[in-house]
Amino acid sequence: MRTLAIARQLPSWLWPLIAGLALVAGPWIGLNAVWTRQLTLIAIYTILVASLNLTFGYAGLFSLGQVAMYALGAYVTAILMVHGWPIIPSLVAAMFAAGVLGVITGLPGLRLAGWGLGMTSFFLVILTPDIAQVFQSQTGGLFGLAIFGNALSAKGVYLACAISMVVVLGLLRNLVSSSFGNSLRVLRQSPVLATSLGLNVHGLKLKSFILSSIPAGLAGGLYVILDHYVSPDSFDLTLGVLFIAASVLGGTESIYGAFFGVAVIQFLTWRVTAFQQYSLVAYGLFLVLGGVLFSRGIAGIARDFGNRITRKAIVVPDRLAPRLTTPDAIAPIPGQLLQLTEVTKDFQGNRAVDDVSLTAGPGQVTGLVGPNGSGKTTLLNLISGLYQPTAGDIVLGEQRLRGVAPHRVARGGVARTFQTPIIPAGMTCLEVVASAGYANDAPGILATMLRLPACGRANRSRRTSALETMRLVGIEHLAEQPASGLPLGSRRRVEVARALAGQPRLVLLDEPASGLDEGEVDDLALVIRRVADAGGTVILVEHNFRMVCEVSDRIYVLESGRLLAQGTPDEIQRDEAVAASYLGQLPDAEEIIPHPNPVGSE
Amino acid sequence: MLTVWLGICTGAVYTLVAVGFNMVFVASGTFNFAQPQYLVVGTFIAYTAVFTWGLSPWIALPAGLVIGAVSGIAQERLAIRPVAAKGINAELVTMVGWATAMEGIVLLIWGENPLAVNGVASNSVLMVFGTRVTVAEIVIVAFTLAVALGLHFWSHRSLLGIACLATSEDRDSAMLRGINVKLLGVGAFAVAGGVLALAGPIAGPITFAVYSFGNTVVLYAFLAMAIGGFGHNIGAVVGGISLGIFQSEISLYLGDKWVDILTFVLLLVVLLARPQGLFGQRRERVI
Amino acid sequence: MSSDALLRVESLSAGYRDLQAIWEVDLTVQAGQVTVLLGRNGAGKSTTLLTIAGLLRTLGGRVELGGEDISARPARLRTKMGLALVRENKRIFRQRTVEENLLIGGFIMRRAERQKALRRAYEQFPILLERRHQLAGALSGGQQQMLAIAQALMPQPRVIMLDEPSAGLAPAIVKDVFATLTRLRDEGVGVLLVEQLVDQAMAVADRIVLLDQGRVVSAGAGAGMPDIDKFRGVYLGRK
Repeated sequence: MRTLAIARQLPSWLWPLIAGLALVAGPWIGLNAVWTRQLTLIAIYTILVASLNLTFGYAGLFSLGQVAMYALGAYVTAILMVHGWPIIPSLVAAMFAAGVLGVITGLPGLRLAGWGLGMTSFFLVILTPDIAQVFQSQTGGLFGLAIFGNALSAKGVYLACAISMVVVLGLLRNLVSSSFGNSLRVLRQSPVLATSLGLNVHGLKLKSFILSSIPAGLAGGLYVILDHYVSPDSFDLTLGVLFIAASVLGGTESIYGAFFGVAVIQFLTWRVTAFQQYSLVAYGLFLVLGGVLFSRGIAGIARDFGNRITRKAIVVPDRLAPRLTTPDAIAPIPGQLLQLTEVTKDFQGNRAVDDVSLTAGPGQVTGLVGPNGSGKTTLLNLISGLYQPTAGDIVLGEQRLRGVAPHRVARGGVARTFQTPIIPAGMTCLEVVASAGYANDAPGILATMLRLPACGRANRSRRTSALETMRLVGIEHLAEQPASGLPLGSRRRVEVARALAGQPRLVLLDEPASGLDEGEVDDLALVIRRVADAGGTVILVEHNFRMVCEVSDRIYVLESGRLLAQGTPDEIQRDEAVAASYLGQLPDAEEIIPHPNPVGSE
Repeated sequence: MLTVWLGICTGAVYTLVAVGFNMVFVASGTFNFAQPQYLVVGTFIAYTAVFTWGLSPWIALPAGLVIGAVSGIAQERLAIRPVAAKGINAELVTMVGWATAMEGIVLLIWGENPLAVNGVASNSVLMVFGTRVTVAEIVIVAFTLAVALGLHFWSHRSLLGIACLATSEDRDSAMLRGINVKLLGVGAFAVAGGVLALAGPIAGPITFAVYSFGNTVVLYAFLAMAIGGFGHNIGAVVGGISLGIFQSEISLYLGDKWVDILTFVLLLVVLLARPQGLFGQRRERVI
Repeated sequence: MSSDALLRVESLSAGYRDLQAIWEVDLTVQAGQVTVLLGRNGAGKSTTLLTIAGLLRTLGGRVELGGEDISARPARLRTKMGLALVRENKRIFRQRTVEENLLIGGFIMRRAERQKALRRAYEQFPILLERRHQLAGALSGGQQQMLAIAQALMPQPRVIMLDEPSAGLAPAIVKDVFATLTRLRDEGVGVLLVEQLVDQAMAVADRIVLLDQGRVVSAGAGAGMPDIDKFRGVYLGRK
């Protein structure tokens, strides 16, 4: 029992590091020649599969491009060594070349997803023999290229591969268990969400392609050093399928899992000689079974087992969000003045927004109501930069928003929620709320990989401000709970907290009361008033007219893209045009909803 | 002229596979990466029927239909339905797995050497507009056009066809309206698998029986679908045949090794410039 | 009185994978009457409707339609027997035209009956006739809700269940929706309505069932209807 308690307190990277060092020392502590070669191969493939997991498991991009990088790395290394280059510069060149290819193939890959991306990457693999033939003189065409001399001993090769594997796994692990890894999860869940958090979707995708190509190129170079020979036959679709099989078996969302996946498959291939003939069928079945059963692979099973040992409580999500309490002090929110001047938006002959002018001030809640199709959501999308106005201007504080790319608008301090909350899977509530800050103060990739102090500082400050915001919204007790499984009311609050956590200059709420019951709507109104009282600028799009009247300082009514009326809630309720178009009739005297009192001012 | 005709013939094979893709896509919303393997199986069945057992190639037609349909049902049950809710990456993985397994089984049974297939149509040659054309080639093209056009009109006119389209959009709602969604999904896989395997003795004369054929055809048929528009059968005809002609001309003027490279470029161009294809509908913005 | 209930639910329990959501729920719907199901979010209202419709498996209890036990029947068979569900969020087939949506609604009918039902739908909802060949996704929210209701009504169900039909709709449209519901009731259809707009729902209710944390806490009809304000205070937490 005591050992378990001690074990729980050691840093999580210690065990893998010890295992890695033991592996590196292998041949000197008793590993025979046959096993040495097998482990060398395993190390090479592990580097590849781990980098595959970065794009496939974390960013959700189905790409087999790794095999092409692997091939390129191998050829570059082979060609350079044939020309007399020593090993290390050749490997570096291989990594560089793979990185460049990663950029080139990543660029079109930016706009593709799902099967489109998968097919393109499959194709790239099939092209390898053709490209080798086109550059026949350098590559030896279909016959391949052999390298003589400059050979390392088998142990030397093993050392090179094992150390490379340990280093690559370490760097990748640091990368994925950081804000960068969470950014990838956000990207996987929804590129729209990523943009609204200020993340540059194309930039993220490109970075993950490059970061996964470089290790693949290294693996290719190491392979050549091992076998002294390269030919197009070594790089085919079957290899790609093998890598996916290893990824799925080990757990696509795990870096260490890659090792186990590769080890199992390599072991089976080697030991069971009959397996060779059946290899295609076996890989195929692995994939089918793996996809169906082991959604998280060996790593997932190990994690569950580990949780059971350390007895981490599996918390059942709270079905009902608790009532709000009043926090002691509310940090000020830097709201600014938003001004829309004569904004118009045309979509192919359809005028969705027609000459709308609107002002939303700090410390105020500005309501925006109107029938479906009246242009409310279009207006929100115009403000957040997802659409560009056909005419008119949008200014926030001193900054002109018109013509600015949506992720830059988000970085400029515009935060929004969505009609259906978009919450990435695999993150706790705290992480979701903290993701608001990723775009603005992300430490560089290098710092993240090496776990420099700047990284830790950024994490801590994000965590503190996220907790504060969660306190404001009343969900700090949910901090460590997985966010995506929570009921709707809680998820809405998490979204609101996320919108607030980035010190927003403008908060856009898109039908936040939809799907909430009366009690939850009251709490939401309370939170919105708090935000305004703390200085935030809030624009509230909502159909729950009662709530809008209770909470807003000013209301704009849209119809068919045009402003129908504007004024205080009182004025709007008495407006005949609004009644006819939106409410259906004029309310009776008793039905007039009272002018906003700060709800819950007690 | 001959190159164009040969291009049309290979293009017809791509179209046939693309139509299989469309059938499954429309009825169940999934892209069946393993679809071409059914055609491969069909060609080998045709070979076995004629050369190994000395039967008439016409026997291969119903044999292919049955085997293809049964395999399709097996795929739906074992590899598709269990992952229906797990997101697109799980689906990608099981599809690639099933395709690989099918390829592996074919390799095990018949080995890696390409085999000649005597199809249902004779190899006698006609002269059409000064070009040498075999009867078998005409049958391939005619069969493909018949299947593609027939399917197109059926899916847009008949209630069952519309129900398929609706089911691919929203399964639960389709169930609530009384549609037997499970049957539709299984049915699509069975019909697509059966039709493609049945096409073995028809397409065999020009594709031969090659265990790895599926790997390249899947990419070409995908491109045909991308050009025409996902789910659109007339688009598949246009896409497949134009791709066939494109490849044929490149092979003639630049040589074989450039065929794949330029096809790849074409794929990129289509996916980037017009991802919805010629006839597909632009997806509305989801915000 | 309750022996001729059109829809009778007894002791129904159901849930999602590892979470049970409702326990032993009883409710009835009479022909030509509206039963309203109220409760806070997460109380199990949608779960109840989905289970009655057959989209969720029951963990216990029974569902009877017109005296017949349908607890073991799959969803599409329940539709054939005269049960209809209009789900929340205007779930229609956006990529299909208005007319195609209606025809799918009549999928289980014979051709001649389906054409008759189509004409009837256009009479009751003239706005749909105007837009019959437009894509359903191009309609406004209110029109989509009307289409969803019309679609469910095609096979002339005996009981229609609606899950928050007012969600996301402008107040004027909500009035139209409720007018449609009253008309249905007057035609003898049994209506089971889940709503968050308590006041509007109360105005049309013949029977009320209050749900909290998956259990029925109060139910009654006519003079025996539970006190809503008390419910609001206790369960919805309103002042």
